[in-house]
Amino acid sequence: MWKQTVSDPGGDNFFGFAVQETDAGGGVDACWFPNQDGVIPTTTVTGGEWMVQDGNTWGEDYVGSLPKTVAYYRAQNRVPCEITVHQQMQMRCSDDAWHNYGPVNTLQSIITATTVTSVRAGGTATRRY
Amino acid sequence: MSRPTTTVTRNILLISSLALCQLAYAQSRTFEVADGQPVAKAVEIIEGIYGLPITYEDTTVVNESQLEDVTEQVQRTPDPSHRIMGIKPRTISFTCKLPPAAPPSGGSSQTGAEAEAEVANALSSVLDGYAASGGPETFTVTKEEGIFHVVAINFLNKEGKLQQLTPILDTKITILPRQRTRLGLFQEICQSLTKATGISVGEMDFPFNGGSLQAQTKTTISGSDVTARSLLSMLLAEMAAPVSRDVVVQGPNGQRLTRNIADKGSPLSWKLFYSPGWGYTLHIRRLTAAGRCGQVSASQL
Repeated sequence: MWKQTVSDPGGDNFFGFAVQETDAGGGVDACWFPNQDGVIPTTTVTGGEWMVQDGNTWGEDYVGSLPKTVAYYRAQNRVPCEITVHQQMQMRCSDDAWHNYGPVNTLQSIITATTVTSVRAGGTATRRY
Repeated sequence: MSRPTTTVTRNILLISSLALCQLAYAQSRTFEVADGQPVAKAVEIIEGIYGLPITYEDTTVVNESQLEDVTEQVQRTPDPSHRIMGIKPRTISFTCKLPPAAPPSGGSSQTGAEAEAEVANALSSVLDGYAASGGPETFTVTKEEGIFHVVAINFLNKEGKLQQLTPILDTKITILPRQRTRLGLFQEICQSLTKATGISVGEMDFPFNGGSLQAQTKTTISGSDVTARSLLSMLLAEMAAPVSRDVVVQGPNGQRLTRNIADKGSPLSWKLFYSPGWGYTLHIRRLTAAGRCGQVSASQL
């Protein structure tokens, strides 16, 4: 889970603003394989909306694979493997439309036999799991 | 876990269904689906065409004649001691009357009742196709509050005899009355099912980022000794319902304005899949607005 801060050069207060994630394309799921277990590849962001909180923070942004998904790929001897998608954040503006802000973020979920790693916009966190 | 040839067939069908969403044909078409769970695949195609939620609950597959060893196709790191079994693909065909194109003025040229009738006909054709292919199991189709449910009610046991199956989601569970997040409720339903049945029911897909408003919104849905299906139906209805809320936006002169926005909600459905040696996995998926043929992922990215 990642928590972000939104900012602009003017130091504006964005408390109460709505932000959402959209998919920027080019996702690759190297863990997935054709299966009949209902497991589908992860090649886009899931999607969702957040409200900016005090201090211009928003989140959490869940980046990674669900426990059952991790267990599934391990059980199928698919690890180590990684999933990469690209996220474009948007903010709702006065014209009621969503507008892009910030660069396209690279999000990754890396699964090994003993660890899981979450990568968001250059930040990395690895845990034994 | 399908063979490469099966995958190719499936991909062709998926492309076909995507094209249908864009072109909106107005005639009947016969589809052919090759898959280990062909009824589920057909359900997804029909759901994509009509944009109406159709849930699916798998049978159990334990008879060896229905299984195949797919170890070599699946394993990235070969481990001869760990064999992976998949369900043998079966090819079925079904007919679906495609919805007419929307009029230029917008809106739908087909009423909800007409669409539901066509979905019911298409599902009936799927089950006929499954039986005609030699598929031994029986599925029922019901409709409750606008959602179709396709549920397996028997399975081929190890001795090769059809045996009645109590659908997993018929299991009665208790969700205590307290506030929890929608994502938390989904996880609790799966955990309660696992505990009540002794069969693993894992949460695999949730249709929104786990940290988002849609997932973290608190719900008071609860129930004592009620079926898991009814709890899931309530959760889906709540998540798919239109919502309005106040958000802050920046005005033309940089001032902060409060604006009420309305989100019309997005249709959702669930799929319960069975995997040999693995148990069940529960997936809640969004029917995407763009033709509603998309699927969301197994991970939260």
